[in-house]
Amino acid sequence: MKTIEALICAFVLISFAPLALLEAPAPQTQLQQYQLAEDVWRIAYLKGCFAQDAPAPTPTLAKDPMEACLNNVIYEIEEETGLKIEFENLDAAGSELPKEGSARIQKTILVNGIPEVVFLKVGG
Amino acid sequence: MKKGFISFDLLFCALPLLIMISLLLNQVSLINEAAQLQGESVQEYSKLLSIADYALKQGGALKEDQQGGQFSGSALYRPSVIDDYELSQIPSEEIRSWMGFESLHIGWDKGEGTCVYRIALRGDEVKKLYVCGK
Repeated sequence: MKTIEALICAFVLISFAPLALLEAPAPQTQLQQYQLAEDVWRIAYLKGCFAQDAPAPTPTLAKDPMEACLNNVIYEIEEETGLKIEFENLDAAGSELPKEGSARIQKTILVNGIPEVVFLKVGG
Repeated sequence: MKKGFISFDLLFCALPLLIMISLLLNQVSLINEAAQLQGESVQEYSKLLSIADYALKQGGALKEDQQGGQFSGSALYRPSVIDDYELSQIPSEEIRSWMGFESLHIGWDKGEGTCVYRIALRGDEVKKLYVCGK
């Protein structure tokens, strides 16, 4: 009798375990953040920030107009959405930097005809 | 006397056992309900993200380059460049029915229910394109 009681008590206690394991799943904000990062890149592309004009006389000048354009785009998107945006390899970022764990995508751009890897980070 | 005592003891033991079994069944029922609600919530969010992706890349996208060559490329659709007319032509009612939503709203303003958004260009202006549903 006591054995049956003990077994049922143990069973009831174990039944609480799945409740602890049943965490609320992340509402897929990570997926949406990656999509928004792609959107930021697309907007920058549509605004002509990566347009390949005649190469600048020195490598640094080629990046400056692009960075200026990107900063304008970042400002516009930041004003509208409140997102925190940063182009890691370039001198282009919003007023606040994205936190660790934000969406980070890798793209390739041409600077003076030379491919360069760029990382775009977008966070909420 | 001994048999009577055993029966009495069994009676008192049976009551907490019944309570524990009832608690166990209730617990299982609650866990099932919670799991179902969470699954529905995730599904709803995923559906809204899919609809937003379609609206951004095709449904509401500019169909031809009306900007006089302002944008790069020559594709038929201009993903992320949203035309108000094309946006109004998205079959929201059909999509709502297919996806099993009670209501669905696609537009520049927030609607009712759970909302997701994507970043798009409306003319030359950066705007949020909302997809809301419940």
